Amino acid sequence: MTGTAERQAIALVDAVRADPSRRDELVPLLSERHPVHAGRSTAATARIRAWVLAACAEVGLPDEAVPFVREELESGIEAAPVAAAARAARSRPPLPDLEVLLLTAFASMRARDAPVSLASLRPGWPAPDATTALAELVATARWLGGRDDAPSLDRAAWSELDGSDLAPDVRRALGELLETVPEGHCCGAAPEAPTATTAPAVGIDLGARLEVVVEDHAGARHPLPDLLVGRPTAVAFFYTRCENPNKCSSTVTKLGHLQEELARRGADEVGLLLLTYDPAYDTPDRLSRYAEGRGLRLGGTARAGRAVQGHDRLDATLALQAGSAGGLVNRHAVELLLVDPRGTVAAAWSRTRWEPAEVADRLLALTPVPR
Amino acid sequence: MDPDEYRATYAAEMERARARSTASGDGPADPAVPDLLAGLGDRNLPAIERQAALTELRRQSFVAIAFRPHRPAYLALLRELVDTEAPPLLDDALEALALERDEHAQQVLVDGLRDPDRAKVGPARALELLSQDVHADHYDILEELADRDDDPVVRRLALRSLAADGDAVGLFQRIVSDPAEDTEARTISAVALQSLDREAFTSVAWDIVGDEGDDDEVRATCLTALGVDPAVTGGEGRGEQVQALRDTTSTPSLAKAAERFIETSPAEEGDPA
Repeated sequence: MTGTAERQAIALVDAVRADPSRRDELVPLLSERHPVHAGRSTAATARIRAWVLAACAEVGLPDEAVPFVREELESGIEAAPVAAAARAARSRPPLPDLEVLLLTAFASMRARDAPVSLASLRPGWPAPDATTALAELVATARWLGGRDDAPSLDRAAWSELDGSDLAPDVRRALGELLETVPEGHCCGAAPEAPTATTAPAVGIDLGARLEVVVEDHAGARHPLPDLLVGRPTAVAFFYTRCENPNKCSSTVTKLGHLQEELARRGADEVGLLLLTYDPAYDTPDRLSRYAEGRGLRLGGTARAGRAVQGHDRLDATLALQAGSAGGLVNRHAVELLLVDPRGTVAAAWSRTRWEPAEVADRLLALTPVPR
Repeated sequence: MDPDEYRATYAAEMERARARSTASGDGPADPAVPDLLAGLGDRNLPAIERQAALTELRRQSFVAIAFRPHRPAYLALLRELVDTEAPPLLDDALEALALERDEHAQQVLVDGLRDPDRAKVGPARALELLSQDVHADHYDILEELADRDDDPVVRRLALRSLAADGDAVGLFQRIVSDPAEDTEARTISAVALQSLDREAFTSVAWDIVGDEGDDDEVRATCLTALGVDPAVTGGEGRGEQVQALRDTTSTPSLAKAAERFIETSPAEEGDPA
């Protein structure tokens, strides 16, 4: 690994390993906006994140790193960061919905498992500490099942995971896990559903003179405030070249479900705005095809668009959780903002799933400007 | 949301994922795969036998469900081969990993492009393998290679790989507009520019098409690309210009491109029948 940012990152991680009380200093390294990720490939930034999460596992996962762990387990598809997130989850009291996160990650990684070494940033192979994402997920389940401060594991759910498509060591680990969960044991108290987070964007006024011009899916250009002020609006970020089906494709599909939910409730005046992280590539035609191919009906108050002027300004103002290499996005979070009729960001989901019904509730609670 | 509903949502998704993973049939893994892995990893075997094992493993890896239990061990062994072996086994292992978009292989290839003393394969081969992943980590090197490398094959590969990079529009504009440039580099740049910046391409392309002193192959590529873009009407007089081109050029590819353009473009007022 070359470059000043990388050398500084290595030095910082080594320092925190030597002094775990500094663990909070690792958190910025997980953000897509950190210079260590700039210009790196998707695979390289995943490896860096895995290495940082593995360090968190050693020194204790900081509170502010919990959303990153949740995000990897909920929607990650790269073996190294998922494995590291599973390991990091064992370094603090159990997350309330950890079992569901582990089961979700297992389903995502079942066809994508790969060997992982978390001992160093640039491991050589053969790696003596080699593990896999599935192995780490099962290990965390076993850890969870042995805790007094967590509900019992859902034996049926874990039992159903077994199959001949799993590597022998994973099947063995699953068998050992099930031996620790007595027959008839099911889940304890159901976890709280995820809800809006306290993302940095909350409180930001997008209705002010923010010089951003959006070209929508029909090729029409609008100042961004014109698309937001006057009605509550859900703003989701995505890009058409995203290769993680759990992120952009899922986001746009769910936006379509949100649209249906709002229609069912007779909410005609709520806006839906899909903005791309990749304005150079995502032309109106690409935006239209992507959105409509996933069930989002564009037109009226539902738009997909790209910032043809001021994208960098928008990015900086909202601190969008996306990084890039060359002209391509290398990694991004799931991001959904709720903007009130004055144009102020009232709520945000960042790095976590959101459910259309809850988002609809929150949108409809935002008071429209009297006409 | 009610917590029970939340749990039910995840349970439904897990069920769908499980169904997808077994949809193709949950058949048994091929019993020969562990033997093949053992053979590939055995340094005491002749290289030709190890290569045969790798070839068979690569074939087996396409039978996704049946191969899945062996995939982590397979990838780990391939990475070991990349780190420790020599050609041709090294090259085969790199290729297999590159097709998997493996990060370790990508880093080895990028290291070699940045520092030729560390290169395990030549730059053209490295670019070819890295092109398997549009999200790979080498855009800064690609621009250098596309701009300055003396090897035309390397330049062309670099340009093709840059076709996904919105930051490379200026480079493509410069290359396609320069009659002194390599013809193939110009045609690659024309296609890439059209994909990345349609307006910039259209302007440059009409200039090239109208320049009788320019390379006819490049003119043909530009005209073909203009013809397949439904937003291009060409503007006043373009239809007549292209018809004249069709009627006067002696280059078959240019004549064909002109004919196709005429067939697919809407008629302009005053165009001859």
